Amino acid sequence: MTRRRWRVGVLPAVGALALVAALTAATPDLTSPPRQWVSLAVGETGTLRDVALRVTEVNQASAVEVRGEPLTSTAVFVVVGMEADVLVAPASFSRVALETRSGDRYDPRPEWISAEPPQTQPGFTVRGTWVFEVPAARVAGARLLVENEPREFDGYDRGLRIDLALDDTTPVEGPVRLADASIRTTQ
Amino acid sequence: MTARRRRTLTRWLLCLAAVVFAGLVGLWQAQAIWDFRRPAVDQSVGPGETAVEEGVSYRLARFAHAPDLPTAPSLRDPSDDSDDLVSALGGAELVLVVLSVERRDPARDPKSVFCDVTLRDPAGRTWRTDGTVDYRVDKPAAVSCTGPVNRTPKVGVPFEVGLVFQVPAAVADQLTVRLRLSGGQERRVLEFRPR
Repeated sequence: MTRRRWRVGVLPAVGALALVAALTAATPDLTSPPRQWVSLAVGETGTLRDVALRVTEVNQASAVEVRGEPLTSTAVFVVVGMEADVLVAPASFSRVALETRSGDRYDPRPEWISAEPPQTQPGFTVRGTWVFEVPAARVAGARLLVENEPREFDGYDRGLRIDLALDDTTPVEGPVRLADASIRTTQ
Repeated sequence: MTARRRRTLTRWLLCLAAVVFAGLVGLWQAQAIWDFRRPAVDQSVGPGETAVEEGVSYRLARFAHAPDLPTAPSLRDPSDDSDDLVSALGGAELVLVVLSVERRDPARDPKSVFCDVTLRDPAGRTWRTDGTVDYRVDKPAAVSCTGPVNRTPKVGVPFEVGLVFQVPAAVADQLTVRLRLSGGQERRVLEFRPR
C-alpha cells in the first residue's frame, strides 16, 4: 500500500471508526430517555411542558391508613404531598419515582390511588399525595423525580429532580391518614 | 482531467452526497417530530358545515356549555331530584360536543374510522373528555367515530357521537373542536368552529 493510499483511504476510515467509538462511549444509557434535570427543593415550583409542580410537604411514617386500617412496614413510608397547575394539555402524573442516593428507583405504592393526583386538565390545579415504601437505610438523600407524560420523540425532555431533604429522622409511628386528591379551577 | 483527479473528484462527490443525504434524513426527522407535536389543521369547518374525509362525513351537530348538564336518564333516581343534573367544579363549565358521522363510501371499513376529539382554546391549550362526568351526562351513546358498541354503522345512515369535557368557565366561549382522524390512508386534522 502506498503512503498516499494510506493517507487518503485508511486513515480517514480509522478516524471515522474512532469517532463512532467515542460517540458510543459518551452516549448516555438509552434504555431510559435522556433528560435535562431541573433541581428543586421542597416548596419550589418547577415547570415541565404541561405542568407547574411543587412539593408541599414530606413526611416519613412507619404506618399509613388504608380504608380505615393501618398498613405497617418494616421499611419507611415516604409521604410526599404535591400541588400542580396544569398548563397546556391534560397531565396524568404517570412518570413519578423516588430515587435514592445509590440510584435505585421506587414507584409510588398502589394502595393510595385515591390520594394520588388523577388526570387533570389545563386551567385546573390538583393536590395529591404519593406514598413510597423505601428501606430505612436508603431514605436519606432520596429525591423525587417527575417527568413529562410518555409520548413519541420524548428524548432530551425536561424532568424535575426535587430534593426532599430526607435524613435519618425516625419515622412517625402512628398511622398517617391521607386526604383524597382534589382538583380546583384556577383559570 | 487525469484519471487520478477524476477518482479524487468522484470520492469527494460521494462524500458530499453522503453528507447531503444525512442532512436530509435529519431534516425529515425534525419535520416528523414538529408535525407530531404541533399538528397543523388540514380543514377548518364553520358552523353547520360538513367535512368529508376518505369516504366519511363529519359535522358538529351540537355544542353546548353550562355549569350543569342533565344526567343520563338511566342514572337518575326517580325518588331523588338532586341527581337530575351533573355539575362542574366551581369556576368551571361542562361542554357537550355532539358530532354527526356518516359513512358515505361503502369501501371504507367502519372499524377503521378513528377520531381523537379534543377542545382547544386560542392559547393552544387542549382538553380531553373528562372521565369523571362524561358517562353521567345525557348524550348520544357512541363515544367514538367507529360507531355505537355492537352496532356497525350503515352506509348513508348518520349516527351521533357524544362527548363531555370540563373547562374553566372563562374559556368556554372561545373553544374549537379538533378531530384527529386516523385509520385511513392519511392522518388529517379537522377543526370545527362552533360559532
